[in-house]
Amino acid sequence: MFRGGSSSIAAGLVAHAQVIQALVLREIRTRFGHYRLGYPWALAEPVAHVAVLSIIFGLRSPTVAGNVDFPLFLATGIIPYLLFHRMVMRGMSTVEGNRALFSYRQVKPIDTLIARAILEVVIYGAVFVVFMTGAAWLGFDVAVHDPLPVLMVFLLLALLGLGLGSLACVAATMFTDTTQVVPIVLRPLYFISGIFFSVERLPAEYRDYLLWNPVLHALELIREHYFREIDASFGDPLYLGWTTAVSVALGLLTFHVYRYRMVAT
Amino acid sequence: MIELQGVTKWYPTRHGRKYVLRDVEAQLPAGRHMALLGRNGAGKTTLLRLIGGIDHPSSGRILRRARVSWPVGLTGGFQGSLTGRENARFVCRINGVSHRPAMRERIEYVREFADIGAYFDEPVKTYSSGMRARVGFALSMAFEFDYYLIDEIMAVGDQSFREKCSDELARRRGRGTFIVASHDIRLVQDICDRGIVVADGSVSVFAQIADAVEAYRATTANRGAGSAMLGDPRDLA
Repeated sequence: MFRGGSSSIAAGLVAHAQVIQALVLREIRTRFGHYRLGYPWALAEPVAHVAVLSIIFGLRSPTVAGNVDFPLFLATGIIPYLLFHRMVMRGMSTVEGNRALFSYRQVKPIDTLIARAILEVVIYGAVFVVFMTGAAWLGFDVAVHDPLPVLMVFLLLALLGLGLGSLACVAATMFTDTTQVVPIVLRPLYFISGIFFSVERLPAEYRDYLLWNPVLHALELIREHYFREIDASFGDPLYLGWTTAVSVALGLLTFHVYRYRMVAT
Repeated sequence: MIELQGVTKWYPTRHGRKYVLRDVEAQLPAGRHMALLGRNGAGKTTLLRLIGGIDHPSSGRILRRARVSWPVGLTGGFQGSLTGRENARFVCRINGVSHRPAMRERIEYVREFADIGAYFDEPVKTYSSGMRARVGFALSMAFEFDYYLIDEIMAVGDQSFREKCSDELARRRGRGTFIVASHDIRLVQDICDRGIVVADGSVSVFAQIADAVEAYRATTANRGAGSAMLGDPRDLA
């Protein structure tokens, strides 16, 4: 868009920000606005997911690593994992799902991608807080040992999902099979990313293979910094950082290169 | 001024590239209302979308130093589970109107112009197609543009709403520039000053609408033998 003047880049950024804000508000209203209970529903489903799993598995294995309560162990794994999963899935469908909106020239594919990412991070961040508040109310010790690294890893994991999601999105506009394949690939990830276990409990011969998976590193790191009882983990911040950087750079670059072709009808 | 410089557009198909437009050079000066003429599938809508920046050329470029509307009357961007008002708010926001008083003013304009009563606060999926069209048109008129892209939608709604629309467009015609893709030759002759005829991927630009209409008639006469009527009878399908 040509706006002229020396401040055209700033004006362009403001325009993007306005569109992203509008998309976030629209998406919130579309997804939760028409329920009687409204916005709490945004959190109900993931909170219930974690609560049910805690009850089912909590009965069997009361502690996991270093005397951490199992529901908390599970929550610190599954909520970040679900965020990652949602980032990939929502990223993948962002162009198809918003195609009609691209008739408004202002709305670019990247805006819809960012808007969805922001919404998912906010929702799953809130789910985390709500779940931990509930757990505290039930008498668990939910104190975060070292909050900043936890937050950082949470966001890194979101970015990893964003990068993979934008790659999947480009692939989905070129090969429709992508939308079938990606869930099949993600399914086993649910079981090997450390939602239900910590790496130190695994037989040594499997560790090296499973540690190729950056999501596993993220969950290890989150727990290491969340729980005072766990001082070390197999999570390597450098490995997570690099894989995330590559995923985001590759994803957004591909997204940028194909931005017109994805929208062309 | 909008300028098309060497604009080429093709789509990939199973049989290779399908060219819709080849190396188009054209200028669309402000104040000169332009008609885009061509048979169905000739590429009028593609050209309109390219001009509007909704689609992008395969090669070449389009200089657009002006505020260009989305296709006037667009309803495809509506989210069915949101109300007319909420959809209108979204369109305000993406157009940079996000401050409350300014937005309220636009929304009020849309509500009044669309004139669908309490339905304005009901989900769009409950609307009839006429009601959707009313809100779509009202939204397009809630903003002031330098160029208005009009894709064959002059006839929306019932008789009274149609009159309201053409009155409003007549008022805008003095301030903005229309780019009209249409088969309706009589209407195009009334509104437009110049014309572009799209046929077989190439375009011809005419400084006089009368010449453009003549050239368009020639293309339809060549193709559809015996269809010397207005336009091509197949266009009615």
